[in-house]
This record gives sequence, structure tokens and C-alpha cells, in this order.
Amino acid sequence: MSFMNPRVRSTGSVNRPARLLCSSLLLLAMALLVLAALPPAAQAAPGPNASIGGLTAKFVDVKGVKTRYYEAGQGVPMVLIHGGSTAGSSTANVWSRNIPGLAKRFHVFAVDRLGSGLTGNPLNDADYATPGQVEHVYQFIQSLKLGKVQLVGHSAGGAVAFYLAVQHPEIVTTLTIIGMGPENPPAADGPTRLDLSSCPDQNVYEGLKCRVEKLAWLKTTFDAEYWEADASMAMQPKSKEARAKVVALTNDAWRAAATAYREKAWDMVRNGGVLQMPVMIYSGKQDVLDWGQKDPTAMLRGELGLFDILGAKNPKVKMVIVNEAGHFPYREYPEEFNRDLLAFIDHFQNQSAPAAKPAAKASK
Amino acid sequence: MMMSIQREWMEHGTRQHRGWLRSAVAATVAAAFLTVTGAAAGAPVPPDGSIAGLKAKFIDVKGVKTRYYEYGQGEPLVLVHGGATAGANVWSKNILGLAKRFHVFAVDRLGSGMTQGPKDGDWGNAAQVEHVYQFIQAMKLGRIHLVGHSSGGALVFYLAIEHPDLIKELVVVAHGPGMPALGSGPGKVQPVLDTCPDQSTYEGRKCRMVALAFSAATFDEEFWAADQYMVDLPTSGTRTRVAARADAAQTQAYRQRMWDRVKNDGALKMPIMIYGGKQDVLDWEGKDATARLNGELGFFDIVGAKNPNVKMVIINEGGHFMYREHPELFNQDVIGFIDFWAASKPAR
Repeated sequence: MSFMNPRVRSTGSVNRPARLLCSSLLLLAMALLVLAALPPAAQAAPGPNASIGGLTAKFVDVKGVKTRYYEAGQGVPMVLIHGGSTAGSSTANVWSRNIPGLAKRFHVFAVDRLGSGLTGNPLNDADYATPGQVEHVYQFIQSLKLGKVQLVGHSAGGAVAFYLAVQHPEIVTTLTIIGMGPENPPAADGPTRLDLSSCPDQNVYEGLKCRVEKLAWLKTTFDAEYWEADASMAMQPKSKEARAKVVALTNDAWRAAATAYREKAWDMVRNGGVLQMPVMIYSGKQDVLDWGQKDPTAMLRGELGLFDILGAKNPKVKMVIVNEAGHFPYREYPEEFNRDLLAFIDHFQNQSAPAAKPAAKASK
Repeated sequence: MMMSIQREWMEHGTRQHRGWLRSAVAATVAAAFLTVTGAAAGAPVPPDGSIAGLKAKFIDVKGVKTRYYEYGQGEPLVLVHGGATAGANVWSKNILGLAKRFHVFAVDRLGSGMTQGPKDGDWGNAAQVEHVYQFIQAMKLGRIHLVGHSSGGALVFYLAIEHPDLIKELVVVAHGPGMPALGSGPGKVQPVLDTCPDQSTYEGRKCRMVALAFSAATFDEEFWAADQYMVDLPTSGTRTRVAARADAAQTQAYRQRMWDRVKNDGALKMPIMIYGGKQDVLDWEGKDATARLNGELGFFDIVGAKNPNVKMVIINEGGHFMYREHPELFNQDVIGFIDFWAASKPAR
């Protein structure tokens, strides 16, 4: 049994000063709990290969691309796909608070996507686009001979997971998409609440970091060890090169191809019913990416729109929204997320196929 | 019994496949069996109005004869139904599953099901809340897990504000319509309701419930038979209530007072789960192609303004009665939510 309290709210109260009014005794108790809950490595420097959280990264060759990943636990394989744009500030390290808990139940693999973290850049420029990202994760699963997997993706990694499930449904047992997925229907008519005006330019590390911090809800979502490892990866020459490549490659034709790819997948799901595995959509209520500027609170239109697409022909879809969580709910409340994920998988796997849902679809 | 009849029917079906005549005979036999099975639904409603093989009980709650179901053992969990004449019967598909983990109490609210109406004619929110509170006291339940649906969701929300020390966790199901975020136009369900008979008649109210359900399978004949039986009882509170109608202005003032206490004073500190069906027509504006759940998200904002421990679950192909439509999923989510907080209690 882990001692990490899922919702030790003292860590969150930086955003809510009112909560500091709790008794000093309670605060002391909570502080002690936080100390007890954080892995010892939290204060330490990153390990070899930018590993954090006491984990140790490994490497595998995936069709000629050296690929970094974490592996923990045993049994049914589960693959975690991080978000972020190519070679931006996101790697498999985002899962550091989830891997140990999930590994109690699953054989967990958290992979650095093509061009991200310490995974090499694409051998062909075309593979900087989403299809190349999807193919890389698919080949990673093949290289490690994982067979059928529980697939979990966050943000842009949620999109990769979604497309992988559309194209290779035979290897995806369940699909979980956290935060915004495959360039969802927009959160609002206008811009979102993500405001980068106070951030440095996105081509310096402080700019990348600033953006990620704006997406988090708690100040404790990321810690010093995380940033140190992240900076070391994001500022390698190959990462800079990848970012420059993506900028250079992105033009109207590139965008049109991305849109066509997405529309085709959506059409296959909405009209072809190709996505029939159980799906969970997981969201933070205060995710600024799904919060229109003119809305007083996030109405989560983007994620509800994704629900509609995924659920059009698939009854086995559920959505979970957690309070006081931003774009990284799984880092903000790791125990709660892990538990929700296990419960979701357990429920649908225990359902015998015919009796899972009422047969009749409403006529309305 | 149902099982054996079905099995027999299937055996007939396989044995008789050689000739169309014999098949037709088999089909006739099967039809006869199915009629017999169907007749079970038409069987007399038991005097206590119970369904699904459950057995109801009665208790005097401050002079009001109150009907309830009680199953399981251990920590008490109280289920409070919404604005349905059928009362606690709406939980018939959930009670036994939840009873594997909890001591489950599903109570007929004041004037619903077979619980008597208020002696003083007060049908307001406060009286409804007080009745459930007194039921909990009369049963000596101590601290409870509390679940409420629709208007019963509002009721448990108010109860938790009035008696926070009594509630361990709160589950509010399909309560959101009428919340501030919901748009001003007519809802998705309105055109359907417009075709329903008058809401003062049983057929009118049944028509409304059917419109709120996701599929025709949400309620079965046994459910409706018991519902009709309870409504027809001379002592039925439903008739009196329809005649009385709670004072709308008073209801709104009470609700506003409760919202203010939660939003401004942080009166609600226990963990809360909001549960919704994606296709709930009550939370679906007429102009939207799909339900945006604005009402429930607005409710989330109210209860979550000062309480971090709030989560919301939305399930697909679920209408206003999604706990009947996906009972196993709902039960698992309720149990998982409560277990999660029970496990983290020592740390808090």
C-alpha cells in the first residue's frame, strides 16, 4: 500500500490561500505526510539518462531509432504516451508519479516519442508529422513484442494513442485519453485561457518550461528534479534540430495533410465505428486548454466534443473530470488517477461481451 | 424460472430445425412460453409495492409512515430517489449490487412511493430534507454515504449542507438542470414533453419518465405496474402533492441560500462525486447537437468553488436514469469513489 495521499491538499493550497486557514496542527500533519509521500529521489538530481523519480530508463532500437523508455511491473502490458509537440518540453518523465503505482498491476512501458526526450529524431523528415509518431509507437510495441496493450495517452500523446487505436485496433484493449486529444473540436469560439504573453520565447528552455507551468494547476505539479532532467533533454542539439525542423516543415500543405489525416480518422470512428474498445476520457476541470477566454469557468467543450466523436458508435465510453486539476491531472492526483484507470480497465474487462450494455439504442 | 423457460425455448429451436412446420410449432410453443414469462410482469403487485424480487419495509418517521428497502450490512449508504412516483423502486437494479459492499437503505421520500405525504401539507425542500434526516435518525444510522438522483440529488446536497457531520461522501446523480450555467432556450426534451398527456395524470408523468430515459429498456412492465399500483392507493401522497405543488418562489429562495452557503462559506467539505449520463435530455439544450452538460458542469463549479475533492463522471449511452441503464458501471463507480476516500482517510 502506498503512503502517498492522493489529495494532500496542502500541496495545492498555493492556488487557494483560503485553505491555509486550517489549523497549524493539521498543516504540520499534512506537511509530514507530504514529506513521507514524496519519493526520496524528489530532492535528488536526475539519474543516468535523465531518469527521475528513482526510475531507470532503458533503450531499444525501434526501426533504426534509438528509443528511450521506462519499464516496470509485470503482467498485462500498458503503454503510456506523453504529450507535447516534438522535442518540446515533454517526455516519458511526465509519468514518473504514476509508473510505480500502475506497475503494481500492469507491465508498464512509458516511451519517449519520436524526437522527444532521449529518443532519436525521425530518419525521414516526413515522420515528424503525426503518422510518423503513431508508427513509431506501433513499432515500439512490436519491437518489445507486447501483443495487446492497455493504451494511455496524454494531450498530443492522446492523439497518438487515438490514431494508433484507429489504425491498429487489434492491439489496443482499452484506450485512455487525458486532456485534449486529437485536436479536438475547439474549446470555444475564441482563444483559450492559455496565456503565454508573460512567457519567454518558445525557442529557449525557459519559454518551454513557462508554457508547461501555465498548463498545470498546482505549483507542485512539477518539481526541481523534473525540470533539471527536462532541460537536459530539451536543450540537446538533436532536440533543437527537431524543433527547427518542425518549424521549417510546417506550411499550408503540412497543415492540410494533418487536417485530412484527422478528418479521415474521425470519419472512420463516427461513421465506420472502428473504435470499439472501452474508452476513458480524463480531464482536469481547470484545464486552460479547454477553457474559453470568455467563459468564467471551463466548460470542457473540446473534451465533450471528443466524447461525442468517440461515443457516436461505441457505448463503452466514460469521462472523468477532477477538480483543482489542470492539463496534468495524473501528476496532480496520481493515486486517484491510477485508481480510476485500474477501475475503468477492470470494469470493462470483467464485463462479458453480450451483457455489457442494454441492447436497445434509443430512437431519439 | 425465466432461465429454464428460455433454455427450453432454445432447445426447441435447435431440435426442430429440420422442417418449417415443426419450426413453426416450436415458435408457437416458444411464443406460449414467452407469454407465460411475460405474465410474470403482469402478476399482482405485492402489497408493499416492491419489485425485482426485493422486499420493502416500513418505519414511522415522526408520524409519517415511510417505506424503504434495506439490504446488506456494514457502512450505511442511503439512496434518495428523484421526482418519481415510483419512489425507491428506481434503485431496483442497484440495491443488491451496492449491498455487497454497504448496508443499503433506499427510502421513499415524503409523499412518494408508499411514504405518506406531509401531515402539515408542507411539500417544500426543507420538509423533504428534514424527512430524510429524520429517517436517518430513526434508523440510527450514524454517519452515512449519501447518494441522490435528480431532485433527490438536490435534496442530498441540501441535507449535506444542513448536516455536514452526518455525511462521509456525497454522490449527486443527474442534478444540474436549473443550474445557472444552463442556457435560456428550451431543452431538448421539451418537444417530447409537449406531446405527453397532462402531468397531473399518471400517463403524463410516465410519459415524462420515458422521455428522460435513454432506452425503452430503462423501465420494464413490472416497474410501471408497481408505480401505477402505488399511485392508485387511496393514501398515495402523489395526488395530494400534485394538487398542492410546492411554492416555486420559496423553493428558489431556499436553493439560492444553499448555493451561497457553499460558494461563499465553503459549507460542503466532504468528497463529492457528480454523476451524469451523456445523453441526459434534461441537460441538453434544444439548439445543441449533443448534450453539453452545462447544468451539471455549473453544479460542479458551485460545489467545487471551495472544495477540491470533487469529481464528475459522465457515461455514454446514459440518459437521466443512467444508474438503471448501466447498473454495474454505476455501482462500481460509487464503490470505487467511496473506497478511494475511505482508504485515504487516515492520511487526512
